[in-house]
Order: sequence, then C-alpha cells, then structure tokens
Amino acid sequence: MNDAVYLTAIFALFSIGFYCLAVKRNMIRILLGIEIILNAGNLAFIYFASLHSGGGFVDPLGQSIVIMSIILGGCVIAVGLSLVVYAYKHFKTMDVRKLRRLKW
Amino acid sequence: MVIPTPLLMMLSPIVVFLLGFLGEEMKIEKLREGAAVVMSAVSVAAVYMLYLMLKSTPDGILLFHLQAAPPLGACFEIDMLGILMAFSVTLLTFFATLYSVKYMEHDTRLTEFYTLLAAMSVGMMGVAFAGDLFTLFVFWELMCIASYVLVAFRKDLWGPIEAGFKYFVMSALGAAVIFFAMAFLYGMAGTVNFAQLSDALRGQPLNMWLYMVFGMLVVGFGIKSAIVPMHTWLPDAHPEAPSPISALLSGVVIATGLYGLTRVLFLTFDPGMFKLPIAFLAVLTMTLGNVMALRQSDIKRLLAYSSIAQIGYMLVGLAAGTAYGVMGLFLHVFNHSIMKGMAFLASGSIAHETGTRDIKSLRGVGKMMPLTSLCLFIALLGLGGVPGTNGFISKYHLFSAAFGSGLGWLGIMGVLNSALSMAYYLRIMQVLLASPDEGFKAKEAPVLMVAVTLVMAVLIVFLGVWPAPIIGFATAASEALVNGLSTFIGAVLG
Amino acid sequence: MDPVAAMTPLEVIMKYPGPWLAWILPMLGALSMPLFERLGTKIRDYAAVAWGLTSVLSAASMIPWLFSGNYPGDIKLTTWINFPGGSPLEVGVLVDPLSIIVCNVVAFISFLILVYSTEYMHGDKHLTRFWFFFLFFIGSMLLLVLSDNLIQTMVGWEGVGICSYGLIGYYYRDAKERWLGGPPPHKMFPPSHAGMKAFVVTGIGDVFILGAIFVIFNYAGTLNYVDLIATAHQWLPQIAAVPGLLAVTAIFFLGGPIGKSAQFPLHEWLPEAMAGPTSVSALIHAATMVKAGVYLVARMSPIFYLGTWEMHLPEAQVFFIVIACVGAFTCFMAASQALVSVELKKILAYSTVSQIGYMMLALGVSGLSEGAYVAGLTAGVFHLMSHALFKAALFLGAGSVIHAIHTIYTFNMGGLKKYMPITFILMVIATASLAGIPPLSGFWSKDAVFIACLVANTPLSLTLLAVGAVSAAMTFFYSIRYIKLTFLGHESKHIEEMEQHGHHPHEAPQIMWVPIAILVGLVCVIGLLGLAGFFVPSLSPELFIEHLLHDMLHHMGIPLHTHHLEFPTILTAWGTSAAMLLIGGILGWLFYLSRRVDSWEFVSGNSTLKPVHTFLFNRWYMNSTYYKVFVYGLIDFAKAVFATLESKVFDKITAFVSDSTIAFGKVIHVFETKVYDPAINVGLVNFFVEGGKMLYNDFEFLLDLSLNRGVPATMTGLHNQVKKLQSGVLSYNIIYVVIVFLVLILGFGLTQMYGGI
Repeated sequence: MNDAVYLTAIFALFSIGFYCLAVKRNMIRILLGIEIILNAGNLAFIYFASLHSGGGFVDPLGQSIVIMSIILGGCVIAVGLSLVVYAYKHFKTMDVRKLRRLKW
Repeated sequence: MVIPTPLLMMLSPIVVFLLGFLGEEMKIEKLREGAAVVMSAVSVAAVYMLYLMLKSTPDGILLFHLQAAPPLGACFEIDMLGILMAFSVTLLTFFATLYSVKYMEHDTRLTEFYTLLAAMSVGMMGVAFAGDLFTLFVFWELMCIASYVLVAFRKDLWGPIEAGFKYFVMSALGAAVIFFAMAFLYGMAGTVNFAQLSDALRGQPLNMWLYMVFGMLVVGFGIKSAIVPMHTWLPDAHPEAPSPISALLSGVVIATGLYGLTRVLFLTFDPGMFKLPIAFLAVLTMTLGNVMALRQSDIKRLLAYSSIAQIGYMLVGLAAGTAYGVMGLFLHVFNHSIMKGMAFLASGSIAHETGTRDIKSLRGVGKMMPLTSLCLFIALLGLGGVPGTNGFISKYHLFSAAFGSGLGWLGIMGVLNSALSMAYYLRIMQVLLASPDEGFKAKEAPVLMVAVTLVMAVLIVFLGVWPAPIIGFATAASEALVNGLSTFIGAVLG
Repeated sequence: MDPVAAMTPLEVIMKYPGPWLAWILPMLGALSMPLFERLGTKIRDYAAVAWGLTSVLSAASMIPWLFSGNYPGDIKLTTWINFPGGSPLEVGVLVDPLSIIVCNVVAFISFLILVYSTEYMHGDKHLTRFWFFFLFFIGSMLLLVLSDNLIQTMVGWEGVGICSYGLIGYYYRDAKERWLGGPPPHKMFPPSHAGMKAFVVTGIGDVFILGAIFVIFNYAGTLNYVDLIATAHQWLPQIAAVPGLLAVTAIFFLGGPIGKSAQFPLHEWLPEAMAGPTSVSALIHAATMVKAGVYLVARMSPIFYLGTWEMHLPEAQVFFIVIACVGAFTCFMAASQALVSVELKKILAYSTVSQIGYMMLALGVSGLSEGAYVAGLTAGVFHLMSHALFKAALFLGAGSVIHAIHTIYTFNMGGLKKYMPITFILMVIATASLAGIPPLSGFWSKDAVFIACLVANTPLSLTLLAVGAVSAAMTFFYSIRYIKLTFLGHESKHIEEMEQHGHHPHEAPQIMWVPIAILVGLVCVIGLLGLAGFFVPSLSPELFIEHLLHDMLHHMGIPLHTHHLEFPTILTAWGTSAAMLLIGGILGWLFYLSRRVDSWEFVSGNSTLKPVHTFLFNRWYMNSTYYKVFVYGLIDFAKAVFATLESKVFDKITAFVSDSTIAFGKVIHVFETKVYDPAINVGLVNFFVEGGKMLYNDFEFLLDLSLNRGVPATMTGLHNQVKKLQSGVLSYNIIYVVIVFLVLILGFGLTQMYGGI
C-alpha cells in the first residue's frame, strides 16, 4: 500500500514535469518543469533508500545522493534563469514559442 | 586512498581561473591564455601518465576512491576505455584552447571562457573515469553546465541565446531523466557502483522495470548524444557557439553521451537485448542527419547535421554488440573527434576571415585561404570515409562489425548513407574551389589557427595510412568493456 | 631472416639500408624539390641528380648479394594494418635476384636519364614540377619492385601511374606545337588529353587487378608474396573448387599488367604518351614503368606454375596461355603499325609495345610445359634488361634529334648523319641491338625468347614462335626505315628551311650524348659477354640470370624440371633469327637503302597494299573504334538517357513527389492552426477552471500529435522535407523525446516480454 503511494507520486511528478515542458509557453514554467522531474528522481532515491534500510537506518547512500543532487539542480536552474534573463532582453517576451528564429 | 598525481589535473579549471584573475588584476598580458594552454597540455600528459600506470597494473583497472570504500564513497575506476575517451577529450581540448588564443582575442570575459572550457573538459574526463553512477552524474552536470554557458557565451546576440536556451532545456531534461533512471537502478540493485550494479543486474530475467530503465537511459543519454529524434537542439546549439566550442561539442561532448550510454548498457544488459532498438535508432539517426545536411546553406549548421549522421554510424557499433563493434565505435569516436573538431575549426577560420557562414557566398575561398581550405578538404574527405583518411578505417570496422553480428541490412544502410553524405561534402569543396565573385576578398587565417588545423589534418592522414597503434588502443578499450567485465567486477569487489 | 623479427624498425633499416633507402630517398628528394628551388634553379637541378645518385648507390649496394647467392629475402619492418580474418599486412621489402636485377636496371637507367634531362629540359620554367614527378617516379617504381606484398606493390603501381600522367601532360598548357597525332588531316590531340587517356586506360586494367587481389586475399588470407607461394597448395585448390573462378582470377590479374605494359587490348595509350618530354618517354614509356607489368607477371608466375604442374589444376594454366597469346599478338600487331608510322617517337613507342610482347610471350610459354619454366622466366627477365638499355638509348637519341631540329615527323628529317655523327653511330648500334643483329645484347635476349618457345615444344608455343619470328623480320625492316629516314638520304625541306634561317642542326652537347654512350656501351658489353659465354659458360649473362632465378625458385620450394639445352635447339633458334633478319634486311635494303623500289610508289600503285597501308596507319582502326564505342558512345548514351528517361520519367516522378508532399504539408498546417494551437493556448487559469476535462483533451491531442506529426514527418524526411521536424519550437522537441520514451518502453518492452501485444 505504502509502496504504491510512493510510486504513484514519483510517476505523477515525472509526468507532470514532462507535461509542463511540452505544453507550457512561459520560460519560467519550463524551468519549473525541469525542477519537478529532478525532484521526482530525488523522491525516488529517498523512497528506494528506505527500502534498502539495514539495522533500522535508511541507506545513507541514497540520502547523500539526494542532498548532492539538490545542490546540482540549484546550479542548473541558476544557469537557466540567467539565460531567461538574456532571452527576455533580446526577444522582449517570456513566450518560448516566439523563440523560433533558428530552424531548418 | 591517496589521489595519484595525474588526477590532480582535474583541478585545472581552478588554476586557470586563479591565474586568469591574477593576470587581469596585475595587467599581465596573456597570462590566462598561457595558463589555459599549459593546463590543457598538462592534461594530455596526465592522461598519458595514467595510461602508463594502467599498463603496469595486472588486471587492467585503476581504482581510486575518496573517503570511504565503495559503495558509499565516490570512486574512479579507470580502465582502457576511459583512458581512450579521456585521451580524445584532452587532445581536442588542447587543440581548441590553442586555437581560441587567436580566435577569441577580441572577446571580453576571457577568464570565464577559459575556466569554463577547462571545466567542460574536466567534466568529460570525470564521466570517462567515473566508477559509479553518481560520480558520473556529478561530472555530467559539470560538463553540461559549462557547455550551456559556453554555447550562449556571446550573450549580446540573439542566436546564441535562443540556441543556448533550447539546448539548456533539452539537455537538463536529459540529465534529469538519467537521474531518474539511476534512482531505479539504485532501487533494484541497492548500489550505484558499476561493478556491484553489474554483478546484481546483468543476466537477471528482464522485467518491466528494466525495460523502463532502458528506455530512460536511451532517452537521457540520447538527448545529449543527439540520437534522432532527440537531436533537435544540436543544429541550433553547435553552429551558434564560438567555433572552438562547436569543435568540442561536436567532437567529444556528444561522444561522451554515447560513452555513457555504452558503458551503462553493457554493465546492465546483455547486448542481445538492446540490439534491435539501437539498430533502428542508428538507421534513423544517420539517414535523417544526412538528408537534413543535404541542402543546408550554413556551413556550420551543415557540419552539425553531419555530426548527427556520424552519431548514427557510431550507434552501428553499439548495435552490433560485439567487442569488435565497440572497438569500431570508439575508434570512430576518436577519429571523429579529430575530423569534426578540425572541420569546425577550419570553417571557423573561414567564417572569421570572410564574416559569413553562408556556403553560397564562400565561392573562391579556396584560392584565398589555401591552407585552411586544404585542411577543411581533408577533414571532409575523412568524414565522408575516403580511403587514406582515418574516417575510412573506423567506418570500415563499424560496418564490417554490423555484418559480423548478423545485422547485414544495418551495414548496407550505413554504406548507402556514407555514399549519400559525400554529396554535401563535395558540394562544399566545389563551392570553395569555384572562381570567386567580383570584389570578394579574404586573406589566410592567422598563423596559429592555421597551424592547429594543419597539425590535425596531418593526424587525419597519418592515422589513415598508419592506423595500427590507434586500432590496438581501441581494441584494448573494447576488450576492457565487453570481455573484461568479470575482471572489472572482480577487481572492484575482490 | 629470423633475427629481423626481434628488431625495431630503425634497426632493420640500419641492418639492410639498401632496399629501404633505394625508394625512400628519391621520394624524400621529390618532396625537397620546392625547398631547393628557393636556393636557386641550378642548385635544384644538381640536387635532383644527387638524389638520383643516392638511389643508384642504394640499389647497387644489393649487387654483392647476387654474387654471394646469400640474399636476405623478405625483410619485414612493422605491422601496417591488421585485417580481421587474415594475417596482418606488414611493411616489408623482398630482396631476391628478381627484384635486385630489375631494381638495379631501373635505378641505373633512371639516373642516366636524369643526367640527360638536365640538359634536355634546360631553361624550362616548370622544372620543379618535372623533377618532383621524376624523382617520385623513381621512388614509386623501386617501391613497386622491392615490395614484399601486393598492396605495397599497388601503392607503387598507382604512384608510377600518377607520375606518368603528370609527365605525359607536362606541357599541360597544350601549346599547339606540342600536339600529337596527325599529320593533318588526321586528328590531333593535346598533351593533357594524352595524359588523361593513359590514366584512364591503365586505370581499366587496375580495376581488374584489384578485383583479382580481393579474390586472392579472400581465399589466401595474406598478400605477402612469400606466404602466398608457401601456402599456395592450400588456397589455390580452394579457388579452383569454384568452377571458372581461378580462370577469371588469372585473367583479371593479368588485366593490370596488360594495361600497365600496354599490351593488346589496352595498348592504345602508349603511342599517345609520347606527348611528354622525350626524356620522360625514354624513362617511363620505354625503360621502366611499362616493365612493371612484366615484373608483376614474373613475380606471380610461381603460384600459377605450382597450380598447373604440381596441383594439376587446368584452370591455372589459363594464366600462361592468355599472357602468351596476348604477348605474341601484341608483338605482331605493334610491329606492323611501326612499319608505317611517320613520327619518330611513335615508331619507337610501337617498337616498345612490340618488344614487351616478346617478354610477355616468354613468360607465357614458360608455363606451357613443365620444363620450360626457368628458360621462359630467364628469357623474360633477360629481354627486359637488354631492352631497357637499348630502348632508353634509342629514345634519348631521338630526343637529341628532336632537340636539334624541332620536329617530330620523320619526313621532316633526313641527312642528319653529317650534322650529328656521334648520335648517328650510337643510334645505329642501339638499333642493331633492337633488330637483333649478333652479337649485340638484343640478339641474345630475343634468341632466349625463341629458345624458350622451342623448349616448351607444344603446338601453341611453336605457333606463337612463328608469330614472333615474323615480327622479328618486321622489326628489322622498320629499324632500317627510320634510320634511313632520319639520318641518311637528302635533307628534307624542313632542314633546308632551317639552314636558310641560319639554324644549323648541331650535335647534341656532351652531357646528352655521354649517357647514351654509356647505355650503348653496356649493350655492347652484354652482347660480347653473350658471345664469350658461348665458349666460357660462366661469362654468359643469360646463364648467370638463369642460375640466379633457378636458385631463387629453389629457395621458394618450387620443384623444377630443367632440360639440358641441346645444341639443335639453339641452332634452330639462331636459324630462325638469321632467316628473319635476312627477309627483313633484304626488303629494307630494297625499299630504303638502295632505293631500288620507291616505297610510296610501290604501295600506292598496288591495289592490295594501299588498303593494308591505310589499315596499319590507322592503327588497325582500334583507336578510333575505342573512341567511338567507349568515349563518344558513352556520351551519346548519356544524352539518350537524359532525353528519354530523365526528362520524361524521372522529372515527372520528382514533380509528383514534391507536389504530394506540399499537399500533405498543407493538411498538416490546417490541422495545426485549427485544432492544435487553440487547444494549447488555454492558459494556467483555464487549466484550473476546466480541470480534469481539459487535461484529458490535452492528452488526446498529444496522442494525435504523435501520430499525425511525428511519424509522417519522419517519412517525408526522406523526401528532403524533414525540415518540419526541425521546427525550432521547443515544445515539439520535448514531445519527440516523450514519443521515443513511450515507443521504447511500450512498443519494445511489451513486445519482447509478452511476445507481441
């Protein structure tokens, strides 16, 4: 029962992230979509760490990976936000579909 | 365990940054360029030292870990395959850095540029050396973040920003999917260390979760290595980046994605399982890459599409699933890094001197920039797989590997595609050799840039007529991956 | 030979410098020519000669091995390429009597011609290019000869081909005076055309030989000559197991030598190749390159000999039968064409083709019976050597003549004996050797060919002997003819005009006639040795070569059956030679020397001979037929294809495809604007308001999108319309990723797990 809840949550987050990336036009929302997928991964790690618990403790490996990954995710989003700022300067819009000068 | 001296070159971005900063503060001209070139040369030497160390070990693997032993501590497990990959990376980084000294001299923020360049190279090396999934992921992100900024380095133009943002979204998505797949691998095996992972998972009956992980791995690494139809960011990002960065992106970054895919797939699955889907993707990738390249008008964009096609050829080796196929794959990775890197550098020189990347307006450049054009010709012939260049050697091995593993149709598709690709390579040559339009003037590129491309051209021809050493190297690498898996596991666990 | 394996490449070269440096140094020299040009043209010319000298010295350093009989054999340097499913290809040289003899002949003659060229080409503006090709040619030719495997030989083979192309077309500016052919009204062709023709025609042969090499490698797994011969008893029967394959392989293999050595039916390029500078004609198209084919046939013949007489494979003998027939026929045909040609160099070119026919004939009859092998091989190699000497001398002499009076036509010469006495004497001796007058070298070597035919003693070999004998008569006849037209008789109008303008024909300078004199001297020496050998067998050059080759074949482990030569056989051969000399000589004397019969009147007055003359003059109509069928025919064919197929069929298909693609694109467009965009445009607020219903719709559209956009876009991509995929819209890109993901998991995973959905 517990497992099903966690797994559902993980896949729900994963799908929402994809949906967000595919459908949303606002650049900030797209960044949020990436963050959501990363968090789905984090949640999965936490959940699996609890499955691999030995001697009453959850597996420290999964936990430590999550902490590192949150830091990395922060870095990625920071770079993304700076790109958004410059994109706004050039295109005067936050709509990602206006960014289509480069094609073919 | 003590970190060996050669691995200290992974600190090169910090050194470059400090020296560059110092140079700017103290107004010492060219200190940062000097530091960047020296550090990239030191990296090549360090990889060579690691190669020698590896040669002297009995079981063909070097193990280094920080703090605790695996599975808890992050670790490097360096085998011949990692060395080959790191060698391609550092070699091309060295050439690109040397080329940048002249090419980028009128840009600002150069300290950042060289720091990021070094960081990207270190990221790729870390991926090649990583001994567990998490180390791989950390260095993967280091490589990615550096490359996002480098693609959008000329932030005052709209092109790099648009391309950079698209590249960022796609690539970050890929990294996130890889991370997600790692979580599931961890869930099934309880570890992220390669050897233990392989011990636990390989040979197990396949279930739905493993198929899902397989799909995620292909998608995640495939986005980075531009497997069609996940390639869409590449034709934007590669041409818009500064030329040395294009060379690195096309030469080694996409190959690093392929390296990650190959490594993890071979650790987790039997080759028989992923043969068909990879073969299918290979055909799709090379065909679409070639078809799209046919009518490009932008020379760098054409080369970017050609990179997609070349990734398709490399996938043939992975689809073959044999040690011979993997040998062809990494032989082509190495050869392609030189050829495509040089093609981008040479076309960068041309764009630098003429101010245009439109192929139609490059008529007659061959007469005005003879050396650069000659280098570009050699690179294009190599990419087309003309005998006498290293491109021919590796393509030959790739396709014969496909035949050898019962995928004859794949080999035939590869040969057909190779023939098709000559069409657009020849078109470039024809335009460059045509008589120039009235009033069109250009002069030969600066000596340093020409020298870099010339050295690489010599390498292409040299490895084309004397491929024995690099084939031996690649064979050792593929043996380490495919046949040496039990030694690998034994060395880590035992 | 064993210690070689343990040595590093450098040590190998240090131990056996000769066979390596002989071809490496000239190639380096070729590359250094542009550098020497910077130092001055004079230094450059001296440097070229010096490089040539290094090559001669390296080659000569191998001669002691000939006499000691203890030559090093196969010297391997290092592994070049590893083939899957075969032994690795190694860089190496094969030093045995065959290669030592041929390589010394090549290096020495090349050097003499190099010296000659310094004067002959003096003052030409593009000499750097000339020296580059010349030295590169020497290097490639020696590489070809010394190589120990077929691939390396092919590298040299193509190298000499490229140099030949570059040197024939040396006057690539195609000034009218350099054109060849004619005289008008016959068609004239520029030098660049001649170069291209040589390249294309020999290229046809190369395609065949490459095919044969692939077959051989496929079965033998190696390309090393020594290994090929050692393992012949394994792989040759395997090829023969496929009916007809061995014969086809043999014929294809001969295609290369036939093209390179200008044998029928690929002989047409050599006469045209005379468009190059005369010293080049002497080097490449008389003395050395055209012998490459002979050398290769000799090199490979042990394999087919083993196949014929040890393994008793009848198809292996095809190799010998074909080359013998081709050689004899070419010999006759080219000699007949030389009878009527009007250009001095062209006569010599036909003569070259004819003489190479003799060599091929000798190599061919060597396999016709078991005992003739050594005799045939010896005759081929001996004639190769002696012909190289006298034909180079003849070409250089012709060069001196053309240099002096600036014309290529024999009817513009005449009476030059008094202006150029030294050249005259040297040319006459060399010509006598060509005609086979005893005791010059040509007599002994041609005699050896006849003896080989007699030793073989089969109906075929005797028939071919008859053909060769008739050709010998014709050889003497045309020899008399061109000597007469060039040096004897009255001065022609052309020379008289020259005199009136104050240009006296002059003797060639010393630096030009000394090389000729050296060559002619060697011709005499070999001839006299041959005569002496009749009394003291150890002096005979023929027996010396025979002894060496016998030794070499013995080393290779080839069982030989040698006949002791009986005196009647020798006498028969001499008798044939003498009779043919008599016939040719009497006719020549009648027509040209005594002027009893006026040749032109005789021919034009006779209704039978007139067509024969026209037939011969038009080269048996072979050249024009080739042009008609292969050159103009192909052009016409291409035009016809364009007119019918392309414009009528393909263009319509293209139009149809592009129309339908555009129509398809419109459908997509309508779908996109009407259905897809509005759906996507609903914002975040609407999302919450509409709730789950909207979510459901979006998913549906997503599915639509995957079916209607992703899949067809990939399909249309093959029609160069895949641009749609690269829309530049980020959302679509993400959707592609999702599609791949779903396809991989659902499509692939499910089918694999449950064996189909």
